[in-house]
Amino acid sequence: MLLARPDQGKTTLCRVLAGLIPRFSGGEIKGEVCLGPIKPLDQEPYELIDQVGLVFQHPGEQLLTSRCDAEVAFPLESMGLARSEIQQRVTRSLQSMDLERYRYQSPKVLSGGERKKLLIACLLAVDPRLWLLDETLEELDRGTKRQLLELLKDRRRSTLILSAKWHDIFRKYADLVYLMEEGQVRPVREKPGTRDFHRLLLKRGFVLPGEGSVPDQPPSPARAPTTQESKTDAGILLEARDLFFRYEQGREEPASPFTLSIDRLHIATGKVLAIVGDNGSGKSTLGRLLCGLLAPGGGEIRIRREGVLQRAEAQDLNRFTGYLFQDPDLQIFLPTVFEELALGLRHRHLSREEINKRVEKTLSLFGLPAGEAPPSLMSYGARKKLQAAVYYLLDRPLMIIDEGDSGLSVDDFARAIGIFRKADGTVLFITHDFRLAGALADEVLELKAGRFV
Amino acid sequence: MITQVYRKKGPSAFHNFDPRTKIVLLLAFLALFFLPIPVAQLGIYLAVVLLITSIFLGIHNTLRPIRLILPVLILVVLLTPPFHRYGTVLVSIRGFTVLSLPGLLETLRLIVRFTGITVIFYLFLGTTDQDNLILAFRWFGLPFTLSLILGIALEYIPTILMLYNQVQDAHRLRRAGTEPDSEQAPVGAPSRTAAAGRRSRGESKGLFRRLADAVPVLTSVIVLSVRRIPTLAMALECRGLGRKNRRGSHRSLKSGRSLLRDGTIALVVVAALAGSVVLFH
Amino acid sequence: MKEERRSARIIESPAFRVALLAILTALTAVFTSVVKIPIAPTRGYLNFGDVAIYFTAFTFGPVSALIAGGVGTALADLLSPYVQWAPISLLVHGLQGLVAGLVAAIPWRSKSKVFNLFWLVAAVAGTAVMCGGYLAGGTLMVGFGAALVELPGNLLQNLVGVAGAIPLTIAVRQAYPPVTKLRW
Repeated sequence: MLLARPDQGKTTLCRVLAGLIPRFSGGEIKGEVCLGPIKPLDQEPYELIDQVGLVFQHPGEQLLTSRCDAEVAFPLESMGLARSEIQQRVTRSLQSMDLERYRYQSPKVLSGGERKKLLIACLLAVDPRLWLLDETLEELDRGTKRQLLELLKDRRRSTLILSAKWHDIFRKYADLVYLMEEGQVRPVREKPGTRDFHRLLLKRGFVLPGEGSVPDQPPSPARAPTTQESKTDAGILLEARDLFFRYEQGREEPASPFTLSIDRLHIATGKVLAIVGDNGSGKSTLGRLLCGLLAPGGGEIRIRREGVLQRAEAQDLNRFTGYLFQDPDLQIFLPTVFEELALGLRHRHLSREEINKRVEKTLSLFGLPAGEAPPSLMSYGARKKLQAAVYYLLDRPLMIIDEGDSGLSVDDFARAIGIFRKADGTVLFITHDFRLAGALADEVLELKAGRFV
Repeated sequence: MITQVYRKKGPSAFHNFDPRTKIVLLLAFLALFFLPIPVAQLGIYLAVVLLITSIFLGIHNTLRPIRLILPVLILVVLLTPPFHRYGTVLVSIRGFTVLSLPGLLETLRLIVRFTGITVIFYLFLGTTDQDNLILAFRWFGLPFTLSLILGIALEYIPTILMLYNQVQDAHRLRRAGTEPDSEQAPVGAPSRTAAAGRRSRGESKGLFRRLADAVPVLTSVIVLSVRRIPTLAMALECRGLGRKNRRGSHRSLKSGRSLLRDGTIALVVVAALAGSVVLFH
Repeated sequence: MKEERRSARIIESPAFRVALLAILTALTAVFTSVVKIPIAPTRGYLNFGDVAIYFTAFTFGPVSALIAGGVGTALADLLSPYVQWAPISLLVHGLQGLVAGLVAAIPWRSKSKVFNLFWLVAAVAGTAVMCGGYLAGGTLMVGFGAALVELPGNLLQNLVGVAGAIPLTIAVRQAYPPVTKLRW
């Protein structure tokens, strides 16, 4: 097992072990990787597929074909196996991962967890000596996690599981645990399951306070979700009433489409509100309704302008909120960090000195590199910070952050929220991390199947 | 394969017809409509094509492409006669030949040809699924690499389209409040969002202004797409692309009895067409 | 120096080329289908396909533009109501990309790096190929008259294509400098 927080290099390490980096990334490498007599760095990756198998962190990046069975068959075809052998292995793998019913369907119709199972099936069919699982166990339910771990143990396959969090189930299967920080990998001497082990993980941030040994289910957050008591009008920045939304029915929609229904939502001025929920609970939908990207099917949203709560249309919400997409690259397009930050300021007819001053201040506030580097070449974490900085300068009354904690360390995320708060901003952040929400927000609301709990 | 236009129908006998023989039939009929045979005869062939398509895809799906090309056909009617004003005059205004017999015949020929070609393509693509089509191309000699590019491109089109919509939204939100309302309309297909209705206001914006506004959005989209290339390449090499050994195959189009049957039918049809052409020449 | 060599080698790997061409093809298909401003009823609409083709030609070279341009626009046709034009799009836009790419590649080979002039010449050549090709193909499909009426639209299409592709090429190069290593 290798534990590392986001953006510490887990994926890079995996890819080095598979011989993909520096082949596809450029850059310098020193040292060796040995899998017995085999040296991945000295060979082409495609020659090694029966030795090393890798499951990407994002399934969408690894899926290639339009049918699940073709997906599993692809590496077997590359190996030049006989057709009967290929077909046998495909069937066996799909059956093992309980995906036989999706055989003729496109991988695109599978859920996130099922796609990961499909990628595991691909590896199963090839059955390499070393399995590299990059955050694969996230998004798998407990039963599947166990099934996979049992399978690997049965086959005596060497496996490296990379994860940003420790799950209790690992205790039974992990033979060795490593921590990766600041580019260094250190073995953990404490035995998994012991108090010393737990304390170490706590100290390093792989487990948050209050977790104890209750794993894999959303525990009550550090602060219980508060109900929205009626507040006096004066403290409210945004109010939503009787909000209702339903996605248009596509041709392949299930019988009962997802609906979002919110009786009442208040966002208090200057506070930090967290919306938590699992995948599919509707939290992103709610975020998009509040920033005006989606129009509600019913109800209204009111925002405070000129001291009074007024009804807001989509365009008003566009201007009132700053919506930070989960992917920071969606709106980055300029050659330098400086220009990205200055873009929003230019329309305000500020002097060049004033713009420079504000940009410099923001750079240091967010810990961004000096202005001349192209943003696209910065690390993911730096780009997320840039996104936050861009919005900080846009100075919108309400910031909505969609899953900002993915890719940012807890510290950086907390610091960003702190900066917004200090600038008298109001923040709403959306996350599936209950504990994080409890730790950082003034108020936490939980969404389940489109309704507040 | 035409996802936007068609209502799914089938599987009919033609749906299950071997795609390789379908390609042969497609080419035969295409060639047919270009032959210098009398327009009336071409018209009969068109009627046959329409009949076949109605049988296998339903009347609704047969009329649909015709409805779509109606504007084109009108243009053909209006613009072909002026270029064929020789020969027997049928209509003239103040001595100026508006319509001549060869002009009329040529117009009819073009209408029959274009309609025929359109319907044949619709029949072909509406009854063949993507995977089998690519397998058929490979059987005819399309190199594996090209078929892979084709297949992956098709998989990535929805991804890039989604990316485009998200980038549009993200840029628009970032720009919100920095421009007067009427200039907010971005270029491109409206995403399913609230402001879609308001976009019509922006259409008055000049073409080149809209082009200039599109550049930031398109830059982001391109950079995001290009950055995925190394990752996709990694995924391909992880699955063994590049190995020197001969590539295996998981499945291929059925050869044997069904191919023989379908092949024979195709040959008979082509022979019948050729025969009828020669006979009535 | 060594890094450049390694990067030069990576573009020769089959997997990398497949990935590059697949994504550029998909990009071209999306650019072609996304914008729909109706002008000439025969061909349908003013679209950004030519922006994508010229951009690919200027940035990624002639072979990429040939495949992405031809297959990309053909796929866009197949996914639209205009399926019957797919074979012609494949040929015409493929050639357009190839020709434009060959001309635009000249400064790279001679290391003069005076791009702008060659981009304009490439655009003129590409326009000639595209308009000529559609005139010829259109004549086969709908007759000379109806095909001729499309010519102004196609010229405008190419004008928009270049006007968009040049700033886009520069902007992408500035926003993502490694892109210059991806041409062949």
